[in-house]
Amino acid sequence: MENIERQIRESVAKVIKVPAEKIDPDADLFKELGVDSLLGVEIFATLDKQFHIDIPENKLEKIKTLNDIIAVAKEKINAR
Amino acid sequence: MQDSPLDRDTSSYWRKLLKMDAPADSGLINKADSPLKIFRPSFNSFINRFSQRHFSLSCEGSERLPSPPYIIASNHSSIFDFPAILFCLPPGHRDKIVAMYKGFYDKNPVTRFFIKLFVRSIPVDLEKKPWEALSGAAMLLRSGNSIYIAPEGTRSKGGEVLPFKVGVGTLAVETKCPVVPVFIKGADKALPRGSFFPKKAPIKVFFGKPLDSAVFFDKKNNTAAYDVYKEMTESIRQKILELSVL
Repeated sequence: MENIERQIRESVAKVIKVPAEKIDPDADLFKELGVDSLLGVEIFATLDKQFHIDIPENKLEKIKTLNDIIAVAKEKINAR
Repeated sequence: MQDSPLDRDTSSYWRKLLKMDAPADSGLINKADSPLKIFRPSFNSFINRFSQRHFSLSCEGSERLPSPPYIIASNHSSIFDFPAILFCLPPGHRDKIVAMYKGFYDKNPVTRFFIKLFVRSIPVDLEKKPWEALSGAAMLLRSGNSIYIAPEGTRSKGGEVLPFKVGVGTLAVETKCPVVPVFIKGADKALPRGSFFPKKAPIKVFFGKPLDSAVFFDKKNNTAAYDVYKEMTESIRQKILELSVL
């Protein structure tokens, strides 16, 4: 699970073009890191592509931080 | 972590979110209209006559418009931008157009009333879930309607063209519909942001050559979908800036 956390952090960093180590896992990606809502969709599209984690539409607007993304990803992986 | 070109193609999630492969939903399509449409011809005729007299509205390049469906993207500095474009469209194109507008205006019953009276329209929630409006717009395009969008997302001050939101590129690339770049000159002086009463000033609408969105569609095979949408969006903005110096 630690490995998946690291991989997700790296993927998110690549999408939003910020060094992985600079992302505070509790920072609001949209308000604090300047991610617009469609770049946010690209993060979820990347998780879907790379890790087969399909985040449903009704959860998208509730996800704000890297930790939120990791929590949803773990939930999806555990449900497999 | 090095990913292969195949890993970069993120479009399947986007297409699912935008319901690109879903059948046409007539309920969603009808939602863009309003019972106020029965008053639309007379209201629009009045506004059209007023704009011809007060703003000496003129148009250039409307012969470049392709057959519907297409996307019109313009600069945005005045609430009169969309009416100016509408009155420059050939008659057969006018009743095909659906305008996307900022969801903020939907909360005010007066602005909502006038928007719905004037044109078929879709509100866009820019902050939280813009994909809902984009999926509705994509469905309308697929059913033969055209879409008007002001990609700046808000009115600029002083005629400046602000950075564009990526929604216009997303919609264009995924639907492969041509995008007509439009520059509206003078609306920022005739009815600027913050002004309620129109001034007597000329407005001219320039239609540019349509951009082919389909050539961007295939780029998604090797590049993250968002980056392709962004590139398309920048191309549209560039074309509008080119029209602004005519």
